[in-house]
Amino acid sequence: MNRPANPAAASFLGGAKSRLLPASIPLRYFGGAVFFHLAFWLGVVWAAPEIPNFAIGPGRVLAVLHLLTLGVFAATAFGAAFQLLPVATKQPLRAEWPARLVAWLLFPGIVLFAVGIAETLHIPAALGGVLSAAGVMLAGVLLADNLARARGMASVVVHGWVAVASLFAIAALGFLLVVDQHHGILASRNGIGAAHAILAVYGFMGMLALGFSYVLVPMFGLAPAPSTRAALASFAFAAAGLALGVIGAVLAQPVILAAGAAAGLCAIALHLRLMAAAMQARMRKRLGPSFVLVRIAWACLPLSLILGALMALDLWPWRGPALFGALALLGWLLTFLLGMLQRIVPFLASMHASGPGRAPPLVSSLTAERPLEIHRYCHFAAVTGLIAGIAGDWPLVVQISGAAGAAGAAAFAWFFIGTLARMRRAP
Amino acid sequence: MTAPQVTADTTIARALAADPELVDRLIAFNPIFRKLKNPILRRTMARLASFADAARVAGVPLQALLDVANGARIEATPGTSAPGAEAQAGASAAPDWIAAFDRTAAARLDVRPLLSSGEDPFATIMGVVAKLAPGAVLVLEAPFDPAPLRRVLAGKGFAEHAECLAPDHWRVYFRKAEGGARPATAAAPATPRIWRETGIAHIDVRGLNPPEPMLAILRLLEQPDCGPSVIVHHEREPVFLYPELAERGWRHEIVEGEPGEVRLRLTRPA
Repeated sequence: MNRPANPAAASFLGGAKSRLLPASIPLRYFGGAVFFHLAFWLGVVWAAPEIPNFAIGPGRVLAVLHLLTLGVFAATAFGAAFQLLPVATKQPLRAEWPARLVAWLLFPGIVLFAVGIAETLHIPAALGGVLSAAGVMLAGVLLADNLARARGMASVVVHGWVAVASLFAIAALGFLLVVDQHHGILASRNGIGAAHAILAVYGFMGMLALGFSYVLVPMFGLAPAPSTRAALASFAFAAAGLALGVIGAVLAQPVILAAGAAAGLCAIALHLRLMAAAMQARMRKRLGPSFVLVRIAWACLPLSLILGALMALDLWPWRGPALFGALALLGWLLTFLLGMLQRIVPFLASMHASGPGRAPPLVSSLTAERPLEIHRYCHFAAVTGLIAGIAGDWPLVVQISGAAGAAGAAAFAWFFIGTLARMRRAP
Repeated sequence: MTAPQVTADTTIARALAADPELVDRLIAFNPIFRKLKNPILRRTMARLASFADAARVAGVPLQALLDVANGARIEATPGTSAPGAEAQAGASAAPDWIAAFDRTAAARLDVRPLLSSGEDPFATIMGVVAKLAPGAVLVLEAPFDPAPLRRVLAGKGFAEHAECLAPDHWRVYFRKAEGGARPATAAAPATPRIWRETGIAHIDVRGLNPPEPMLAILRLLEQPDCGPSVIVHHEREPVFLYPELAERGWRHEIVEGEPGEVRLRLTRPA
């Protein structure tokens, strides 16, 4: 009979303690994301006439875009990162209050910023920009502090570092763009705007999505963790692609931009191969409808890069920025995040509803399937309709798609609120 | 609800959680236990220190301490409340190697700043310990007597000696055995270890990266011969596992484990 080793991994102090944050911290971010998700689709209805011919610059479309990027993406990313990064790094957050403060800065900031740039109101836009930038920077510091103390999961940690670096770069470039709006300091405003967008989509959100996938996908599918070496190889391509993309955008060099997209495609090919291997080896055979969203998002990710490369090389004839935005932001990121949120929220609720001597409620009992089904159909209709509306320059189609998206977002909010109510009612 | 019986192996934290009035009885018994009002100590040391450790650190009879822990109210006596009792208890006569080792070559580590910032210094300490050559010494500065760590490293073949320099400053010496640490305990496992004791399956998932611990445990539970009860040896409370257990009809409870270990008993109702 084997005797277990004396606790080589035994902790000196506190290593055994749970790293589960109070439910209110991740759920406030997910709740914020649910709210801004609805606001975004309503904004699409409102800004529909301007969306097909969108070019980077202040106005309704940029305001609506930030409801999505800051309100949905950043909020979801922060909620997930505050909860999951300590699991991957095996280090707790140093304190809980900054994680709460980020939300207090971020959410009012987003509202003010969006209203300000939509209506060209300088003071609300500036105040909102400062508040949301402060929230983003504080979140970046919190995540960087946790990453600096990391003890494991190199594949998650390296992605996390590039995501945090991108976060600071996004804030700095965003600040430059705002200053340039009033004082005209930039020689190439479009280049800086493109770099800001690349860092936001593929740097911060992309790196977090890729990194956390190495924990979340195996966890939800009950599959072995992907090979760290292969994940690091994917990361190397992704980081190189990001750097080339940003440099190419700033220098307005199409070939460098396209090379960045090519490196990104190599990274994604490796990443998706790892994800496919995990899916094949999984113990949970029925993954549920959330993974339908995740798989569609995975398909949209390389398509967005291919479109980006074609746009950079001037091989895509029309409405490139708007189509690229729809494919990358909605087809990939939003679809991926909503798929993950469908799994994370009931899972978190189950964990938080349990206690000493009390078994957690079943995840399935906390998940309302009906609103998720409504959301799924509305979401697909909205995204495909929006892409078609942009491609055909049909504002009415964009508007109807926005309405379908808003109906889906309302159903998703129904699911979220219902899960919280079931969590509170759990015996 | 009746608090469970406290034994020498019960951790202070577990007893305090079950009996909120215990801290006052302990302080009345011996003022040394005022330290338990310190939130850092309460959050860290008390989770790992057993009552046997506490009796040794405080220099009080174990049985009297257990009586207090189990409900007796014993007031302090001059003999039990004397300042410096902790120092006398935790520290002992210095062994010969303390005077003989090369102080300029010793590894030094001060974990007080880490602890005051709320950080777990375990990884740092184990990183330094792992690099020690056979016969080399680590000099550790701590704000209290780290009795559980001393016990763990002693179990790995280290000689150790503690000195109390001030009520909030302890210096602890660890010397690696000439033959090195015992190989069975030198490294974290790369794969889960599964064995049986008295017919019950045990699985040790410490040192594995997530989600491997969860997977290893669920794989074991799905084996037809796993039995109605499984003991899990984990390095932290596996909160992400609980919903999966519930989905499969298994219950969990935390039971007494080794210092730094979270031990769970999983049971499948008949």
